[in-house]
Amino acid sequence: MTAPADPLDPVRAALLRAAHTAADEVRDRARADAQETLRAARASADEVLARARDRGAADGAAAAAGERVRAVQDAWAAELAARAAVYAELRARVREGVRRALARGAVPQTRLAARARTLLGADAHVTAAPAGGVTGEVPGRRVDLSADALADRALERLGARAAALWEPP
Amino acid sequence: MTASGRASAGPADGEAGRRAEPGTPSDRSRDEPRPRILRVTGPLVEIACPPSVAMHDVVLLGAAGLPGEVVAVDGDAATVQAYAYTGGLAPGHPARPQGHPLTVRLAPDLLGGVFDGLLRPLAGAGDLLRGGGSAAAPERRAWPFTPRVSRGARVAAGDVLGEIGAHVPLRLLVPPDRSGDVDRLAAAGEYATDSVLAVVGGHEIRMAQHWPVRRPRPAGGRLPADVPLHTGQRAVDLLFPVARGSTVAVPGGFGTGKTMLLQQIAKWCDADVIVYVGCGERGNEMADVIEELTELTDPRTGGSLAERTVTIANTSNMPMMAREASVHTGATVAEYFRDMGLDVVLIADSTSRWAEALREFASRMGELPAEEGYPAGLASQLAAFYERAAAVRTLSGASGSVTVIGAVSPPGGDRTEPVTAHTERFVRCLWSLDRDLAYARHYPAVSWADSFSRDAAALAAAHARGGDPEWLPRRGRVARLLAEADRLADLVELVGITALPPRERVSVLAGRLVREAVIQQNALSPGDAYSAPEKTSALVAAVLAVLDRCLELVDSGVRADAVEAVDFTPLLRARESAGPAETAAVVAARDQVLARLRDAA
Amino acid sequence: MSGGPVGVEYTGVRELRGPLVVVEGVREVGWDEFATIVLDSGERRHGLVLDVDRDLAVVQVLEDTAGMARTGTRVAFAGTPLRIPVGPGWLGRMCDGRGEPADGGPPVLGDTRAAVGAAPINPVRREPPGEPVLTGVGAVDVLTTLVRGQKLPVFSAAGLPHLELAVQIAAQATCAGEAFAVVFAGMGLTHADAEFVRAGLAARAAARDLVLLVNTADDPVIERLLTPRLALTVAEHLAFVVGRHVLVVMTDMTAYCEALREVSAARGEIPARRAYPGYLYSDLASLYERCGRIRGRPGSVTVLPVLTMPAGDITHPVPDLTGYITEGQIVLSAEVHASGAYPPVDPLSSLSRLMRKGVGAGRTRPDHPAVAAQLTAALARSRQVRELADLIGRPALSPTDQRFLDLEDVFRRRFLAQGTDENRSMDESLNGAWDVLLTLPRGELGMIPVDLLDTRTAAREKESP
Repeated sequence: MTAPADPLDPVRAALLRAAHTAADEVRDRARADAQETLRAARASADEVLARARDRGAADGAAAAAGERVRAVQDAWAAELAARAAVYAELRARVREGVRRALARGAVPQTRLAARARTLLGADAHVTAAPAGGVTGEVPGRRVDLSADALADRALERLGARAAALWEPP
Repeated sequence: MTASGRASAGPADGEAGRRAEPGTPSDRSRDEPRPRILRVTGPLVEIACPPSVAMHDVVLLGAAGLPGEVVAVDGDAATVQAYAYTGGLAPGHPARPQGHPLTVRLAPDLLGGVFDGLLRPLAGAGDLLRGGGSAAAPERRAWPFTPRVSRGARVAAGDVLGEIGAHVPLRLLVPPDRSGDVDRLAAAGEYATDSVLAVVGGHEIRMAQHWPVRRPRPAGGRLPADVPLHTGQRAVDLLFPVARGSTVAVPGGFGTGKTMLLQQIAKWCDADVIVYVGCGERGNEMADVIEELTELTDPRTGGSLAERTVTIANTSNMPMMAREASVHTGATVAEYFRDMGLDVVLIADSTSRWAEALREFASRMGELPAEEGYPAGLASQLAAFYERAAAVRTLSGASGSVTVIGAVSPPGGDRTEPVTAHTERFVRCLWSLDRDLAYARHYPAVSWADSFSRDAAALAAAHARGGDPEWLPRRGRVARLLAEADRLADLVELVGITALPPRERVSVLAGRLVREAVIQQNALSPGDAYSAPEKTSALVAAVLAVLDRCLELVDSGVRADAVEAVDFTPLLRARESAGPAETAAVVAARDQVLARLRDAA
Repeated sequence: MSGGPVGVEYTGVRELRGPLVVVEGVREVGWDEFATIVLDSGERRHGLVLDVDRDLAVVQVLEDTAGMARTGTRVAFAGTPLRIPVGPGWLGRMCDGRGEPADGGPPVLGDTRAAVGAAPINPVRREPPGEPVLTGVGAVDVLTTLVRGQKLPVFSAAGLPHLELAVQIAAQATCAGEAFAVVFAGMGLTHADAEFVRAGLAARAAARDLVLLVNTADDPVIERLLTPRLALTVAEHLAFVVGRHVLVVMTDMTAYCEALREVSAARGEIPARRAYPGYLYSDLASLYERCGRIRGRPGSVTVLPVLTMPAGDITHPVPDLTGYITEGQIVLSAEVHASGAYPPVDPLSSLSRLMRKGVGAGRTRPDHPAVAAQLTAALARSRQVRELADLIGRPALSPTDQRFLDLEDVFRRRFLAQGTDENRSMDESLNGAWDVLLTLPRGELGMIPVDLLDTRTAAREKESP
């Protein structure tokens, strides 16, 4: 199945641009966040270890080891939370970017409507979505080409590339 | 679709069971609607199709050409059982009826190969088996051919046209449905399996031939099964012997060593060709047996054991419906070699997994279930499978045989479940594996109380003709010793050995010696992994001689304690210290123990 | 988790029954496709296509159909059977039984997507297993060694500490310093058990060596059928592409099988033994057989399923069919448990069929095979002697038999018993086994080569002159 040029290509280009801009900003913040949590975690582990050394007891050392594991866990949990926040922010920005792109007319509403009719048939009832884009409907079937739906699908397609946001360059 | 094509597409030599020549099915359907899929539910696929489609015809499904078989026809629609995972297959996708039933390619290069349930080669099929299965062609080597008839000769179906040089003596036969004058015959030389070696009555004949798997290959007639198959496993050869062309079922719960026993027989029994069907069993085990067969040397030919073996590996996670086909595929391959005048052993591990596939299929087809959800036809299907075993006069008058050995995996070890209960009725030999023996690490765990061999009488006559008239009495005595020792064991647990009379104490000793010095085997020991008939006889004779002396001693008043205290170790070790066919070391061990008994007196 | 192309959503729901929804008017929807269902409320659910007949598709909803109506329900099909992102992004993550994050992190991302119902490994491409996975649990490492690429289940019963043992093995297992990971799949766990697993494996998670997928007892039942498949799909990629040795722990397989039975009943299928579906064997095999090694590829998948035998019955279909598929079993015993020993492994009914190939010189220690064989044989004799002693009394036993009578006790105290967080090295474990064996007269250790015996006895005499 060789499809003709996808009318949504300009949308994808727009949102990738938006994603990259967003990524540069959030990545810096994410890294700072993660580093801070890790630093704090290590400090607290070192502190416990120091206390244990002071006590000099074997069970103290075991407690310190346990504490250190817990500290690493806390740091990891904090980092995951930071990543989730970064990802949520990316999603919000990508949605915003796609809405703006559609509002700007990067993809004319008519092309989206045409796409909906290709998928559902010429008699499809096409409505403009509140935040941009369209939805199309025939009895029993429906396509969602609204700005948010397009943005979410594109973000999913980014796959592991989105992980670049929190991974070292 | 090349792969499925090889397994199922119409061949050029035009044998039985085919109405359309290959490449033509599209011609006849020019005016009919193009066959397409209507419904998919798991392995069952309903298709709209022309009325010319027949039951059991092969249909290739979807763009990937997944193979399937027609199992029901209703009006313009047919139901196809797919032999592959049907995920993603949708109504509207194409279906291509092939105009012939499930057919396999039979050729000398099956020997040494590993195949799936539809006989598609697994070598070169990639790390993971997707969709239609194996894609790559097997290595096409050339085989030496020597003609044995002359041009112009008149030949009939099954006649030998020439010999094919392999580790196993193979023959080029006139296919079962052909006869006529030999118009052309290749000169001696090396040929690929697909080259035309002869033209008989206008038909080209190649080494590679095709046959529908569900149709038994014809033979000249059945012969009485009265020649022993030496499995190399003493528990079996001595107590529950099997004849060439007979049938065996091996029931055993998990962990009782079914697969181990069958693999040992595959390695060491004295058949010409082994067809090993791993039907719904473990992948690692198949990998292991394939590797071992390649490494082991065939004591008879000096080649690798793999070169007399055809392995069909349809592991438990491979498509269940191909499992159903795999036992028929195995039987067809076995009959192919049988027709060349060879003795073939077909091992199916496990027939219970095959029966489960039958049950699954019946349940999806909405058949009324009989016992435990199995279809009412289970018994007749099992019987039909075991009936493919036979000693036969081939069409050309030679003798050949297919011996079927089927593992049975009773759920929960329950021997009353339908597959085990029915199978027991159809087979001539039953080797029941005993959990207690297996847990005591006694290999092979063949129970002497729950097994039987209906071939024993016929084989005793064969042994007598072969110069061993003592075979039957010896077997009887060993069986009685084991039964007597079992009976006394319960008593000993209650009252202690010292409370028994001297002769009974010798009986307990006899049980131990027979079990440990004769019946038990060490599958990992080079000397004991298999046992030639002469070694088995020597071990039995040695133990019986020692026991006779023990009885004489206690009868003459020697205390039983003194007899029991004799060191029997040389006798117990003889099975491992002697080579697989060695008797001298066994005799020496016997004499050593007899000498010790003399000292004890 | 679907990332397919812009898809059509179907709104024509014809029928709702049990966990099934029948959608009409579908085109080109394939069997076993993954579906996303959006309710009127905006809630998203997921499903699999069970049957597709002309323009009707029957979808099994993982989360059940409660609250779904004929109007306002939208069903989108993924275009393929369920595929999930795979890759190192899973390491360190904790998710629910459907793979959605349960650790506060973002969705798990991966460049590659793999089908959760993987294609079977070609039997001729399998590499027979041959090296051990060390668990740090003496009874397992010495007597039922786990071999890389093996499937070895734990058979347990209600009230026995199988979860403790599974977590201990998951927390301690290693592969001689080679890259390693654990994928832990929990099915039908109580919240307390789930928390116990999380806490016990926290260190492994923090070290990014763990993937944890937990379906709790109050999570959707059908989702349970997906959990082990996700776990194995993630594991296969980590093993055969990333190159790690991966241990997959799956517990409790009995809960999984019950879910399978429930779904089968809802579909109106003809039941076999104890109302389990006839395809239970094949279904379990489709999970267990995903273990192994592949020629020419790094890494391995080792599978450790844990199951509770209902009423302790080993002939129940779940342990029985599992036993037919797996390569041995580790059996926990109520009797050993009652004696206070942990882990309560019954050494005589436990067996690792691949052990012979995975132990000995260059793998564990040269004396390992002989020690393990001798210890098992001695324990078997010990048990026989105990039965005899019950009948005829201890004093009537021969002196040798009296030594054997005490052996099982010594075995439990000096070898078997171990702390739940005690990680024993192979040397410590084997030395413990020697300590037990050397309580027997030398003449009773016939399975151990004489030179080994000499070295050991000499070493002991040096230790305690």
